[in-house]
Amino acid sequence: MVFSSYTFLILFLPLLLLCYYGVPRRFRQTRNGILLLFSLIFYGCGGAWYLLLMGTSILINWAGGLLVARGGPRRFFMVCTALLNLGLLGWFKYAGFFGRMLHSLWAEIPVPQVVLPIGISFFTFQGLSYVIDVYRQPRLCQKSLLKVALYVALFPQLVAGPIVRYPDVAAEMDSNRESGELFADGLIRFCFGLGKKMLLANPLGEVADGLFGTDFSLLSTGAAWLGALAYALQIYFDFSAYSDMAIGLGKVFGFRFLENFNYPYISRTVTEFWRRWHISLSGWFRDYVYIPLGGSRVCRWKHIRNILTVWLLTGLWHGAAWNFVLWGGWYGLLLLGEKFLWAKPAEKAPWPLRWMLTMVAVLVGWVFFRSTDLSFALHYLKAMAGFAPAPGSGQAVYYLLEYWPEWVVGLVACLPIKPYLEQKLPATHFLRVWGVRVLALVLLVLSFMKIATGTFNPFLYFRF
Amino acid sequence: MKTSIKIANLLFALGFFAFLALIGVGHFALPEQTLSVYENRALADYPALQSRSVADGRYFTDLEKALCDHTAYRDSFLRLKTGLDLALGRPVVNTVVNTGDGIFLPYQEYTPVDEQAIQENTRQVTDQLAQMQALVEGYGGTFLYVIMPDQATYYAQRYPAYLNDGTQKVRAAKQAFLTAADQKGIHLLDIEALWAGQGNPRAYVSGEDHHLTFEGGQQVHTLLLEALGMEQTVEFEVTQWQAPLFGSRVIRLCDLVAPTERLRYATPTQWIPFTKYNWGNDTPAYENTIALPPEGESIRYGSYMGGDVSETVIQTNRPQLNNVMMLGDSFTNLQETMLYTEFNESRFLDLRHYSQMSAMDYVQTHRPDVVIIMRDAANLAGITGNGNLQ
Repeated sequence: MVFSSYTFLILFLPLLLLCYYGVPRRFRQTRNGILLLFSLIFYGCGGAWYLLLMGTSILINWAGGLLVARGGPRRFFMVCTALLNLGLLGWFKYAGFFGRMLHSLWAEIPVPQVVLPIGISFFTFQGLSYVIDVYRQPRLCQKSLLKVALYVALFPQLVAGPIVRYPDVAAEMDSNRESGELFADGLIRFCFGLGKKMLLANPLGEVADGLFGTDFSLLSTGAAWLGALAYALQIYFDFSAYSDMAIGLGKVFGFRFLENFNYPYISRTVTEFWRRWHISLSGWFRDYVYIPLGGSRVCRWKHIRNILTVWLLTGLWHGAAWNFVLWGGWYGLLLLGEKFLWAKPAEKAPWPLRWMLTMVAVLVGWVFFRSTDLSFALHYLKAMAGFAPAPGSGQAVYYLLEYWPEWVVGLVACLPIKPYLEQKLPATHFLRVWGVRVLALVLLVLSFMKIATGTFNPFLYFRF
Repeated sequence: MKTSIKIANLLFALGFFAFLALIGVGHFALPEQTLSVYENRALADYPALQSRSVADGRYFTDLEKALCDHTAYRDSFLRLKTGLDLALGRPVVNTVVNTGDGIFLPYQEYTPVDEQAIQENTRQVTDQLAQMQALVEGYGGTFLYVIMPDQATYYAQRYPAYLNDGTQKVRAAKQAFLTAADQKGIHLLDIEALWAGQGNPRAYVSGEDHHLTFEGGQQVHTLLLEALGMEQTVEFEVTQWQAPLFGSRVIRLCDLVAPTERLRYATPTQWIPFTKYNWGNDTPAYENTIALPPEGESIRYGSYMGGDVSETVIQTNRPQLNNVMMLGDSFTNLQETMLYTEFNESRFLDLRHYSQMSAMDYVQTHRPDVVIIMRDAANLAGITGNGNLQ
């Protein structure tokens, strides 16, 4: 189940709200229990057997947290729990990848066929962060299995983040956290996220799919750039939309998750880009990999090692394929370059140039990310560099004209207009009070229109 | 001041849930639909609840598709989406290109032409045609392959320059087909080339549907009989259905573009009694070659012969005349309404739906005096459906 679906909007969410708010506030644990139950149903809709995996992850982290907090060989228990978490992730996500690698060297080694459970990267990292945080601060340990389960399985951020740290929600789990204002704010945020997903991300995804799927014999340089740009917008709106919806739904149930995106496409350096993009993930790697390795407080070579380790792991976290590793490595090299090579000279360059170069670097990275394999990525980048076999393409013109509203709104939506307006207009301004809410409702209706017509599939000859 | 925000929040939340409630209640309160007129298809069925499909998630995926198909007010949402797309000036709306002069063409993907596949497919197709021709002529019959124009290629110059007009692929397939057909001595009637030589007259091919107009169909009927060395003995009275004709292109625009074309059909001035059997049934079908809706209602191309039928047999009880078999896609439907008048028994086959036996075996069984295969130029290299005679 996804947030942008009929099942979620018309069946799941209303039923959950009815059950949740039907219980008086003073029965906090009952409300938490209902939230947990529906979270498990939410996850189980993707495949009931995945609930076993979820249950295993919850038990590992709950028991691990208790053992780590108790005393004695705490570090040992923490490492074991971490290894169990990573073992689950490693098997379900990376067994096929490493299997294929080994198989290419020794054909006798079979390649395991493992289905990747939805959200495993996210809830595994959440579980890991819980146990490590308990190791660092034993008082954080949660004895209640229900609350640990709720933390791991909470449906708003279960499948695509943001990665929530336990300390950020611990107090809220026991408090009377809900309020009318938060509820409404949450729904408004949800509507904007839904609109971003259905009205921007999905259509721009069609452009990206069309252009990345074009035979190289027909791909022009202009079309290649357009495809890269379309994908950059698609992935931003898709991912940030999901975060918006997750944060919005969190608020509906009284949780305040941290922001996950901060207008990354206005960044003037790659370092800045990663402070604005998937903030919860970069924060996780900083706190649980980079800093424990020594961070920047080591000699230069170890510092370089630490940066490359984090970025290769970041790439691998995103997907079990070499193009993701390359993508991570690409950013590792760029960040090293910014840190050690061109930081000072770059500061003297005018900001539009710095911004443009940063965006080109980001687009190149997205080509690696989107490509099915290294060979494809290189062919595509070659086309972008001007070595495309096809001349000026009508296809690029088609995708510009057909999707012009999405291009215009999409490019504008990359700019920090909301914070600008919030700065300029008082909180009680008509636009901020009524304009925002009316727009949210319009986005809800238009988004639902897209959901309902998403199965539009006309035939020339009747299909029955 | 805070009160206004509270009121705004309350109204917003009410609006949010009112909308969801409207959809939810409408789902159960409104009568269930099973067809989508705009998409020309049956709506998805609800999946059966099975432990295996629940375990692996397929149940909920299929449930989502069915729920979306059966959304309350879905047609209204389709019209809203289409209306917005048209208002925004998108060049392609619901896979239809509006050229702006009453001609609606299909959007065609940008794909390279696979010359090798075309060569192989046309070799396969023409081999089968040669075998069919040999079979028919072996028992003294006449064989004819008719190439009909494809609407998109017929009006290719109307596409905006940046869109793929599909002509490269169609021309490649046709060139390969003609070369192979010539080598194998297949008897052809190339109506596409004939009309191209006349500048592709606007009157012959619909601008709102992928088929011919009635005038084009009349021309084809005359040309067919000429090619078969037959005289046209039956005159027709032409009737126009006054309500709009919803062509296959225009229907996708969800009634937001008014169709301008009208359906015409021919009836013999001197009625020829016949018995018609559809789908291999012994029970005769309605005694007409045109299925008309109630007076004043809109009509579609599928009214000719009642649409695509796997097998139609028309018997006129005139043993002095020849028997004919015609095989092809819906392009044959219009022709069938006229062709039967010149033959004793007419058998019309559509291999996309007919699976009792192969076309070769069918011809072997019934031995019609005349065998016509009719295909549009876009499908000359098609090896499935009416392109597979074995």
